[in-house]
Amino acid sequence: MQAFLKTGKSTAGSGDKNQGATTTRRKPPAPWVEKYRPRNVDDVVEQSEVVAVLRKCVEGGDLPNMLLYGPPGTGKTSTILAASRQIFGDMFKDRILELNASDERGINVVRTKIKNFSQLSASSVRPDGKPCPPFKIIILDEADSMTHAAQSALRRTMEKESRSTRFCLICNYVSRIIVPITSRCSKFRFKALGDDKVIDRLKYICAMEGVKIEEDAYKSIVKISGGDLRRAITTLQSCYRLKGPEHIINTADLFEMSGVIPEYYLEDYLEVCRSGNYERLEQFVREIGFSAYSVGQMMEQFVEFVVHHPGLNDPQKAKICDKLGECCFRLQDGGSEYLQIMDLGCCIILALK
Amino acid sequence: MALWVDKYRPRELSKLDYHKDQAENLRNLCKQSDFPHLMFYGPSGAGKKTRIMCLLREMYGSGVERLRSETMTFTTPSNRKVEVMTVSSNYHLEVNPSDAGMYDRTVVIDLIKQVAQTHQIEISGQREFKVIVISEGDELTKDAQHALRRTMEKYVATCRIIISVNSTSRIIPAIRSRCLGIRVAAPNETEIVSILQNTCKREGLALPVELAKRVVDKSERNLRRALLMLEAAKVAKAPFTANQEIPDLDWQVFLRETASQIISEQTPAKLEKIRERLYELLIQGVPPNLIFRGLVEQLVSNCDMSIKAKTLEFATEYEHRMQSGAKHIFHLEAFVAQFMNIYKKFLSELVMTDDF
Amino acid sequence: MSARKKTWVRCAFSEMNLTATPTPSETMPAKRTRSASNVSSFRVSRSRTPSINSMPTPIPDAELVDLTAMDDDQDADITGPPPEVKENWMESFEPATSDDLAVHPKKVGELRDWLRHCEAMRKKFPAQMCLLTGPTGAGKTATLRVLAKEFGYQLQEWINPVDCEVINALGDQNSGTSYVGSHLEAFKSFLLRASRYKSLLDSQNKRLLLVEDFPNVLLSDKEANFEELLNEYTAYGKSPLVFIVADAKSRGLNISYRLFPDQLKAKHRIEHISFNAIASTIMQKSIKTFCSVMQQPQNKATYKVPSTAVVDSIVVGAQGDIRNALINLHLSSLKGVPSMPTKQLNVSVAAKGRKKKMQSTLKSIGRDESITLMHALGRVLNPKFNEDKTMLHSPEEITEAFNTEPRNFVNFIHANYLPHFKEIDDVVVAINDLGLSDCMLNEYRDDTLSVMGLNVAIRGVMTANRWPVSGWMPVRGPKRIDIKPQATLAEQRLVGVGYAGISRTLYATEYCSLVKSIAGKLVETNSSQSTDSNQVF
Repeated sequence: MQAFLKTGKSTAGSGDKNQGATTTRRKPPAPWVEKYRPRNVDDVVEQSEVVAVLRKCVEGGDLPNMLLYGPPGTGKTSTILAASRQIFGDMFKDRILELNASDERGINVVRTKIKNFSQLSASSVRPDGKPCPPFKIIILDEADSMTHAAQSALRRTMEKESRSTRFCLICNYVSRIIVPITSRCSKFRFKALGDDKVIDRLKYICAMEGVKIEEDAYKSIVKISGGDLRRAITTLQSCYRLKGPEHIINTADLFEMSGVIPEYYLEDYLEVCRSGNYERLEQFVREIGFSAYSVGQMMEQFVEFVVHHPGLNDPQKAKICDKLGECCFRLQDGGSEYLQIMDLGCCIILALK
Repeated sequence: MALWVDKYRPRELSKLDYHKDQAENLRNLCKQSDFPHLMFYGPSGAGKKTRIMCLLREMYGSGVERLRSETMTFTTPSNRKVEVMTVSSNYHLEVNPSDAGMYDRTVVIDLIKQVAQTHQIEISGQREFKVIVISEGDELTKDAQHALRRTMEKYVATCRIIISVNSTSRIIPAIRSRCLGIRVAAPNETEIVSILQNTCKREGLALPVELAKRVVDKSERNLRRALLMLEAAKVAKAPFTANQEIPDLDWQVFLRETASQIISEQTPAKLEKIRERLYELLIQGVPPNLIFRGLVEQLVSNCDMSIKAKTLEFATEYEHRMQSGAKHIFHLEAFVAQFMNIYKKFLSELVMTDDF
Repeated sequence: MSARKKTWVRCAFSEMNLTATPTPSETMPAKRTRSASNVSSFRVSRSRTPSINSMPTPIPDAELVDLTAMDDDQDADITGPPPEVKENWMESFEPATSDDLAVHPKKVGELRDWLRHCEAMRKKFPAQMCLLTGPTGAGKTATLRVLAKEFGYQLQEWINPVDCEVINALGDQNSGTSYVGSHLEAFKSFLLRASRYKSLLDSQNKRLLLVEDFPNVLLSDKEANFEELLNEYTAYGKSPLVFIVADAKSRGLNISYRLFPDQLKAKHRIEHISFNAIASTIMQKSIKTFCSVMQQPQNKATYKVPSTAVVDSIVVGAQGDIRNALINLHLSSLKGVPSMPTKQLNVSVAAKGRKKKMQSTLKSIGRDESITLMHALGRVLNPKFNEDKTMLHSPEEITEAFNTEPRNFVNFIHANYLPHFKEIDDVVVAINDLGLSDCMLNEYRDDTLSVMGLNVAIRGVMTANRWPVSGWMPVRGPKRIDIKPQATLAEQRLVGVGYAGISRTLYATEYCSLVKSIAGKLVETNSSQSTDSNQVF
């Protein structure tokens, strides 16, 4: 059961474990992501279809094998945890085995740990006599990073132990899960969260924690996080930590925090390239280097910027994006940042001539 | 007897000379009992290490400054012994895994396990975690980074990681999302000049303003380099004069000469000589991507726009190939040969167009 | 060649005359039988099937084997099953006296001189050492044995104990947990004891130690052990010691180069006699001697002498290795073996009488026609083309020859290709291919890529060179990059305790030269200050 305590998603130490500390020590605060996780299925933000199905399951006391997929931060893990809580109540910890990507999930673990857990029998009566669903749940988070071999080893166990164990796989890309497994599960797609829902949740958290924040900062948070609620909450919390409880958080702080490059940099870059002057380009690139902005991040933002830019025509956009792809690829492989961005700049200069 | 860089390094957050509001933020961070993993990123010589030490001092007090260096040996799964030097105090441990080469994964995991598995007994008044500082985190292999991420989560209770990187592009997103990023930009020129002048004042030397400006230009906004250059200049000739010679980094001079040799002649025989010079640089320990960058910067200033674009294209291609190859000299040589080729054609075209 | 063609009998017990196509003019009353050779076992089983009483069926042509018979073939009269070969073939052809040796008499003379020198020095410096090197099959061990017998030495050889445990008895440990000693210790004790103490069974009084098989520890680890060993031996040994080392192709494996550097040889006055490959004239002579041995009555039953064409091709294929020639000769002369297929070489040799004789070598049995590194490099760097623009030497062959050490070969190409190129755009193509091959060779996930990588490099360099610069150029080995140590102690102290936290590359790029100049000046000022303070006193 120790696996459940490892959430593996917090940026800060959760500090839930006691290490023989003296009783006078305060428990450090849990990260807000954990604190404000929904406790029951109704609290889950958005995802109405999934929630409806799950509610029915919870009432009926039975669950199918599930495959939850979708972009990160949309509530997949929260949903299944909430549902299991509702079903099992106190026996929650005994009936659930959670393994995420930070645990060993190679084929050995599948063969031993998962198999052993799934072979334990589950009674249908609670310790206090009330009825309880007679199965256990194994949650495999971030399942797309499991190797194909481990996934294949899993499917047999899924079949054999289907009477007493339900599997719930959570992943970002369904394509990374092998077909035999996807055929054994019912798939639930989680959409990216809409902006207003995110803002509502954030407002709730701010109210509870007493965070002072400007109104339009909410929109910036949403933009930075891109539909990922976890990232939004973490950004908010980090900003709060850094600035202290007295400071009113504004947009600039948020951008600074998250490492997002301000928009004017991208505009300047395009401007410099348009001028066709190599020395200016070199100077600009040096500036970026000195300001410590990440070139990879800049290229990611630049894609969006270029595609939606009104001042460029389509052939130019095509050429630029083509080169962008190459440069991003090379950067990933460890290429030198200076060379990549200079190369991109030169290509843009030639394209805009 | 210490270098000026170390002697006059600020030891407390309040004594930092620039980016003061960031220092304020860091102080706020220390005030709380909880503490995330941190990632300091910025160009070389911007002050990341300084800030990390100040932060640690803020957290743990002055005991952090009693440093000792020791060599730790780790055994890889293939039974090979890897030695790594670490600098540590009672509260933290600083390690640079890039010297372990391919085996940095083992180093990282075992080191963290060693540190993290010892709990503090006497907790009252202190933090319950230790800090591991990983320098030059972008040299970590992807393998080591994934292992780091798992280990970070497992031992989050007893140890926190502070990574210092030059750029976050080489860090996998999983680690980036688990760490709080602190951007340390390079100080601007006025700030460097004022620091130089303060240092000289404390050393009892007079620093002419023009000399300071020249040093700042040469150092490319790298504070460490500026201070080292100034000290080397003082050692060469003190007291200062305004147009005194500032010592250069020898590998940069060598690289400049190499570039001018490439421009002068473009034949296979010349290429052989260039190859010898490149070997010399590699033996000195200069990393190949710096060599690429230096060569490109110098060579490009000699040709017009179309050649510039082509040169850059080839540079990126060969540099990328170098990442997946083992012998760097092959790719460096390929780039030089390719440049010689384009340049030769460019010159001959110039000659031809002159005729018309 | 006689006009008669012998037909090959299928069954040893068959009474029938097999009279297929061109039959011998006389039927042979007795059948020639097979000798005990494995090659024909397949046929033996097949031939037992026809029943004895059936009519003679004409044998299809495929089963007839033509033997190019010798002129003096008189084996038609032998009856009965072949006599078994009782003793080791090689031993029956061993040289007994120094005249039998196929080695050049001058080399034999050198070794003889050394042995005389040992005799002379027996009282004062009994522990003389000698090193014999040369290609395999050059006759080193044979020469030594012959000369040892001549001088009356008992030869004692060291063999690596690979199939038995070297157990050092630790008193009464017979409970099964014996202590397995190190081979090095065993070797040391061999050297010292064998030289000093004689066996009761020794026929001679004097001993000569021979080491041909080196303990692996000496080869893989540092050679300091070996020096110590030799030092001890010169101090305590009592008999001459001979090391025999066969040259290996690659320098890394070259034991004589690594274990016996020049200074070691000078220090212990180790005599180095290097044998050359056996000249083809001497080899021809020896083979003729063998053939005549084979003609002797006791051997006639099992062996027949092969034709001169085969004999010549054996000599060519052996390339100076007499052991190899002997083995091939053995195989070709066994009865029951079809004549050895020979392959024509494209080299013609001016034979006696100015007639150009086409040389042919044994196909697929001859010695490894492996080309040396230098040879192959020459082919790559100076590519030769036929009239129809195809390449003379195929890159695939060169790749096959070196596919065990692709990286080494590519490094050699890289170190040497530039002087052979005239134009820079050819160089561009070549180095591009070298770069690609480097990436392929670095791919650890797929082994077959390394062969492909080598092929790309070879082919790339060969085809890129449109106008090769000819002329002899010295071949350089690839350069090794040993990164020099970076900071002296004084500099390290200057940087302080943080030195450990700075990586190599950072130190090299940021600190190195500046710290050097600072430290240099400080040392000067310190020393000048101390001299000042001395003057004060």
